[in-house]
This record gives sequence, C-alpha cells and structure tokens, in this order.
Amino acid sequence: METEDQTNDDIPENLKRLVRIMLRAFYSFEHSLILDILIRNRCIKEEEILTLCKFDKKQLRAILTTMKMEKILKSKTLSEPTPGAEPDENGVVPKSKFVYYFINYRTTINIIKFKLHKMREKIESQERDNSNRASFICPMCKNTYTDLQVDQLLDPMSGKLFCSYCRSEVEEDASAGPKTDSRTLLAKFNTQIAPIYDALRETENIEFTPTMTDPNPSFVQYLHSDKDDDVFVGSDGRVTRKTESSQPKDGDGWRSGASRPGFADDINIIIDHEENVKARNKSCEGTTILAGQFYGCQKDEDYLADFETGNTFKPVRRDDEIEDIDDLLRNTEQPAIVKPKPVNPRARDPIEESSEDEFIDSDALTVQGKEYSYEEISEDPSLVEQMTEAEQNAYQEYMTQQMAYIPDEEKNSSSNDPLSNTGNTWDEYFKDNELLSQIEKDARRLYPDISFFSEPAKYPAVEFINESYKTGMLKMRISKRNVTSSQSAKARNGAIVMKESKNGDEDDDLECKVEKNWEVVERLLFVYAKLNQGTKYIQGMNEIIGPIYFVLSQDPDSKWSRYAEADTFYCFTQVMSEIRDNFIQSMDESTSGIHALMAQTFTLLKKHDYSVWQVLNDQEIRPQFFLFRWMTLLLSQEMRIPDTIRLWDSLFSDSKRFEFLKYVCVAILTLIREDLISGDFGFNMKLLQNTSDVLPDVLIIIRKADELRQKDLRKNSGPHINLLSKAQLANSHFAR
Amino acid sequence: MSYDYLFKIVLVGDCGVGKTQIRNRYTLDEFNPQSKSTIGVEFAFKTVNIDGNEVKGQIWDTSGEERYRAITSAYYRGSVGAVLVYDVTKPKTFEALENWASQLRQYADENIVVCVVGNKIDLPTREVSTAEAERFARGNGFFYMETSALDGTGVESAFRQVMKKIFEIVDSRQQARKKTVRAGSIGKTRSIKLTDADDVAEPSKFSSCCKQM
Repeated sequence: METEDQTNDDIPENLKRLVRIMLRAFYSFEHSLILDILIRNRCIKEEEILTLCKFDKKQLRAILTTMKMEKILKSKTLSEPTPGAEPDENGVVPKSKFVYYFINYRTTINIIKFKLHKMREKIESQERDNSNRASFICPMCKNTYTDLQVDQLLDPMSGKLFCSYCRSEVEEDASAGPKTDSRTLLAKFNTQIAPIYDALRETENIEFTPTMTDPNPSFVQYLHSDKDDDVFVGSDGRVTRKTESSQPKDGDGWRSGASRPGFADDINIIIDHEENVKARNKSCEGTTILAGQFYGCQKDEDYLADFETGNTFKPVRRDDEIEDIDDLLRNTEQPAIVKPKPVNPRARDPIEESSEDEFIDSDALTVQGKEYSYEEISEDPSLVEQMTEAEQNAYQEYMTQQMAYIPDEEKNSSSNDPLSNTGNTWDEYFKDNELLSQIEKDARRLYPDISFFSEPAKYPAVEFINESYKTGMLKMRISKRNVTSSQSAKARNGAIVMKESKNGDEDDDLECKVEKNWEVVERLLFVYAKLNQGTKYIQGMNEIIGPIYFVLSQDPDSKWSRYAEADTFYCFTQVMSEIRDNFIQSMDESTSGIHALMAQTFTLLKKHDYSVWQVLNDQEIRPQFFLFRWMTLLLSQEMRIPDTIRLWDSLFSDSKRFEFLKYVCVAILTLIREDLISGDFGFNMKLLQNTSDVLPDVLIIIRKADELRQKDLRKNSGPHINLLSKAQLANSHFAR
Repeated sequence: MSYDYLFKIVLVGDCGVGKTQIRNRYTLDEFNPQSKSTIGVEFAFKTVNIDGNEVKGQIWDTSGEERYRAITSAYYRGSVGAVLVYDVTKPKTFEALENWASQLRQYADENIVVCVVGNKIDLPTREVSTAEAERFARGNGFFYMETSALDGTGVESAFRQVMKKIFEIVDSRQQARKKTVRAGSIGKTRSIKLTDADDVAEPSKFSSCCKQM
C-alpha cells in the first residue's frame, strides 16, 4: 500500500508548510481544516471531503467556493462509473460526474506574494499619508491645513495665521507630525510575516510538474475499506494513488491527458530581497518586495519595468511558454481540453484575427498525445487539423452518447417500464425530452431577424457521424412525445399549425432531411446541458452560443468551418465557465453573482455620470429592469449580430473580461444620456429595453468604455500604479 | 397623449405559454411566432378609455424561466393587476399556475386584480378544459378568460376586464373620499395603489406626456 508520502511526493514539504502557515494565519479554522485534507489528499472528490470533515454540505460548499474564488483551490470534473451501477448488456457502465478539488499550488504562491505585496503597499501608503498630515488646526471650526497652505492663512498685517473660513487664529496641530505608529506597523508586519517570507524563500526554486498543477485523483484508502465500522479519520490520513483501472479511459483522454504542460517549464525567477528592494527603490519609492516575482509572468514584469523605467516595451522571449499574470490571478479552472481558450487574452486587434489561431492560448498544447508549443503549431497548420480532429472525435463521442440514447424498447423488463416513472432509464429519457423541447423552442427563435439560423447547415452532423446518428433524431424524440398533437394537427390548416406545433405540417419530412443551423445549436445546447448538470440549460444561453456558432460556421476556409460545431461547443464551454454564475440562481447573491455585477455597474454609473444615475434612481428604474438582460446575455440582445461580434471581440480579448462589460454598459448609458435625462419613466424604460435602434456605432461604445476605464485606472493608481491595473492598462491598449 | 390613471399590470406564467405574444397582440396588434425569449422583463404601454377616463396600462411582460423567478419578483412591486397565462395544450403550464399565484400573493399588492388566461385556444390539441380552469380561477378569487394571441381572440377583452376591475376599485374608493380630501383633482395623473389610503402617490412622475406612446 502506498503511503501519504509517496502520493504527495510531487509536492515538496516546504510548499505544503507554506500553505499551512498561510491558512492558519489568514483563514478560519474550518478553511484550514478542509485545506489540510486537500494537502494530505492531493485531489479528491467533494463527497470524500464531506465524509472526511463531516461538515454540513452547505457549509463545505461555501468554503470550497470561497477558496475557489480566492483561486487557491481548483476543481475539475471527471466522469466516472457510477458507484454501485451495473454495466448494461453492452458492458457499458453508466457514468456520473464527480467534482474533484485540489490545491493549485502554483497560483497559491503567487496569490500569497500578491497579497503580501498589497498589504505592504497599503501600510506604506498609510505611512506616506501620515507624513502629509495637516499641521495646523483651527480651534474654532476644526479645519486643518498643511504646511503648504500656510500662504493662504498668513495675514501679512499681523503676521499671524488665520483660518480662511472663520478667521480665528489657527494653532499648530499637536497630533500631527510624523506618526511613529505606522513605522512600527511596518516593522510589526515584517516580523509577523517573517515565517511566510522564509517559507516563500524556501519554495522559490520549485519546479512545477504537470502532476503538481493538475493532479490525478487520489484514492482515499480508509474511505473505501471498512467503510462501515471504521470511519475514524486518522491523523496520518493514508492515501494512495488511484489504481490504473480507475483512471479515465482513453476516450476521456482529451480531458485528463491534455493538461497544461506549460507548467513543466523551468522557472528560475529568483527572489532576492536585498537586490530587488534596491532596484525598485531607484525607480519607485515604495518597496515592492514581491512585485514582479510572480512565477511565470515574465511578460507582465516587462510591463512593470516599462512603467517604472519609462522604457519602451520590449518583450523578452523565453524558451519556455509563459503564462499571464492575470491568467494566474483569474480563476484558471478551465478544463484541460485541446483548445483551452476561446480567445487569446493578449489578442491584438481582434478584428484582424479571423483565423482560428486566436483561440489557441500561448500554452503548449497537446495534439494527439504529443506536446507542441504555440509557435510550432502556428507554423504548421496541419497540426491544428489533427488537433481539431481529436477534439471533433471527443465531441462526437459525447454527441452520440447523449443523443442516440434511447432506452432499448425491446428489453422492457418490469423494472424498466416506460410507464412506471420511478428512477429507471425511461424517467431520465422523458426528462431529457422535456429539456429538449425547451431548448428546441429557444433555438428555433434564435436571431429571427437574420436568415442564417433557418438555413441548412453547411456541415450537418450526418456527414461526420456514424449511421447511428440520424438527422432529425432530436426532432423525432420530441415528436414522439407530442404524438397526439401531431396527428390531430395534420387535419388543420398547415400554415397556422406549423407555427405552434413542430410536426403538424407536410414540410415535416423534408425538414427532417435537411439539418438547419438552429438544429445544430439545439444539439449543442442539449449536449452542454447533459454534460453540465449543475447549470443545465437556462433560457438565454441560446443567445450566448448563437453568435459563437454564427462566426465559426461561416469561416471561409472549409478546413475550419467543417469543425464549427465541435469548436463552438468548446468555445461556449469556455465562455460559460466565466459567466456561468449569471445563470445559476443560487449564485445571485454571491460576489460574482448578477446582483453584485449590476450593483457595481450602477456604482460606476454614479461615478461617471451622476445625472444619468440620478434620473434612473429618481424614476425608480432598477438595474433588474434592463441591466439584468444586458449583462446576462453580454449585450447580445441589445445590438445586431455584427455589432455583438465586434463587441465580444473586445470583451474576450480583455484580460478582465467582465470588468470591461460594466464599463461598456456605463458607456452605453452615457451615450444616450440626453434622451435619458429628458425622458420620463415609460420613455426611458422603452429606450433601455430597445437600445439597438438608438445606439451609436459599436466602436464608439467600445472607445467610450475604454476611455472611462482608463480614467478610473489613472485615478486609482496615483503615483504608484499597482500591478493589476498595469496589466489592465496594457491590455486595454491592445484592445484598442 | 395624457392620461388620468396609470395601472401597472404584470404578465406571468411558464415559459412558452405566449406571454410576449399576448403583449404584442394587445399593444401592437402583432403576432410574431419568432420572437426572442424574454430575459428579465419587457415593457409596453397601452392607453384605453374606461368610462370616459384615459387609463394607461403599463404592461410588464416577465420571463417564465424558472431560474429568473427570483429576479422577476422584483417586477411585481407596485403592480395592481396581473394576467396569469397558461397554455391550454399543456396541462403542465396550468398546474404551474398555483405556484405563480402564490408568487403573486407573496410579492404583489394583496388586492391585486388577477385574470387567469388560457392561451392558444386556436390549437386543436387542447388538453385543459374550460371548466377546470374556471374552477381554479373561482377558487382563488380570480376571473378567467380564454385567448388566442395568434388570431387575437379575447386578448383585448382580458386586459380591458382587468383594467376595468382595477378602475372600479379605485373609483369606488375615490367616490367615497371625494367629499373629504382631494376633491376636484380630476384630470390629474396618478399612479394607483390598491391598499394604501394614498392613491395619488406620485403625481408628478407620470405627469408629462409619454413620448413613446
């Protein structure tokens, strides 16, 4: 039996220690308990954590979510054979999805450094503020004046200083002057944080291997043996690696195998306190001990250097592929798939980038089991073809798995009776059909103003799917369900019935033979809903997937467009991984939920255009009345599709994607301010809900949004531009 | 176009029962089966004449999607009328009415005038009977109408009935009060609250002409 040490040997002891210190210092007891479990067991299921810590499920969820938002935890979803399920007659064991959690050590180190840096920065700025304190005070009105304002106070006749408001003589402020407090604060900070600094220094030369950043599921021994009589959690927490047989099968390889190999690179950024402090003191007065020492963020260091020295930006090429800092600081929970990112965060002018290459992140990618760097791939397009093919196959597998699934009617045993709707396969089948008819309704009415979605698909599924998948299969599933309606509907006037009943007219047979674009979208959404049981399908997702499919399937190069369906699936999954919270009701009240987003946008509006904000506020136009749709659908219903596509280019190419969305919303409001200010409640509501006719060119909106953000960045940063805003700033230059 | 009264009316019901179609039929006299799904809320006006008074109906067409229900409840505030829509060909949407009704009771004014509307009666595949629906409506103190947004049957009169009922409530209250406080305020615009004694809540807010209508 393997022991803990063997399982975790890829994580150095000092790194674990660092995380433990950090947890004990800054997090609650519950947080550190759960993280301790995850330190012991590298990567385990949520259910297993639950059994180990015996927390309330909700509480555990909450902790896991906060830690995930802090980017210390990562999760991945694997589908595994359902425990206790029997293989069916084909030997296929039904699979369920399990969420695995693990600590993202690489990011954690950066987070710790970043937070320490921020803390230090804050203490320092406090210190600075203290030295700028008022040194005169008026005894009457308590007005304070700094040394520099003395000239306004000086009365040349008497030579005394008088308060400019109440004209009484001011006194020196005894409480002013350099406050020793803040210095001791800094010293205190240094001593208190010393253990963390020490631990950080010890971890500086760690090389991250792919297994460290994307570990395989651990096998928790005592959970699986003697389950009934021994549930005691031993302090040694014996764990072993999962046995080979329970590893995901080859077919799943695209998910588990294609980890982000960029992490395997040598990282030789050396933390050198003395040197660094000196170097930085030259250019900026604050001591930014940790700034720029993030693992693998060479490019942002360059931005940093650029800002500090005033040099022009010269990217330093490294042999290894390097990740963005904002990538690190953002939640990097994308599943490892062959094409990991919908859009390259450092996209240049997004309009010029029509080729598929923009979807490839700078990480090295895996093409059929072999690793290639981004350069290699961009030089050899055939690799991309292989890659899309691999991805296509994976998607295809899913599609057939989910679509062609019809319980075998011939083997209707008593336990599998379609009429008894208790937990048999039929139950699921009927539920799916309900889901399907809902999706169908929404997919069908996607972008009615353009004909694209009702046109036949260029590459219908039948061309690349084996015979088991018949075009119109989904439709057949729904029509079976509506069998009564279709039969009786035939008797009626076809033209009218067609609109209401899917299968009541004579075109039906024809419709089945030619696959329309909306049917592709329907299938995509269905597969997504089946694979993402947590989110499923929510109205509005169709509006997100529509433009993506629209763009990909119309690529002039058939090499790309023939894979549009699979590509859309992955891109959509990626986008959803970032905006999914908007679609989950339980997330509404969370910090990343839609309410928070709307409130933040209103605050921004208040800041940038007070009068518009006041009008909306006075007329009681709540953000839910219009912003809800704007933000949930990324403005896709507010403008025409070409404009949406242009706007999304900017949104996706921005490193802080949905930060920019807020600015775009504010920009729209300020651009229609004249109308809003003169309008009454009804007029304004109509205006806000039907913006597509009144909005100026989308480029004007984007420019305005960018302008607003730049303004904020400048204001926030002051003399010490902080790291994040620098990255933002640099990125928004690209976005232009 | 000025108006004397402003009534806020919410349209609720499951996804795909045709709320947006009813709204479009009523306010624009249009039927477009290809309309987009409603996310959040959509907004429309129609002014009608009831007993010589210009009454403006402010129609809030809400999303039927389950997930958006928490958000939708914010739209109920201040509404004096509700149109509860179900699809006569889908019993499931009828069963859901119970839920919608309790939602209304929870968030809307307690004296809200509710009209249950069975939509899509033009379809031959009807599965919910009129008697069944009437029983439900009566049991809850609502009234019942049947419509077809497609050919327009019943839409106008459903809204008219709701507005008339609200108007009656407001008017009777006003008659009772006329002698005492705000006599002679005829022609003034007001938004209506059914429970509050103060039914001239925000006269200035809606006093200007509505540009859009």
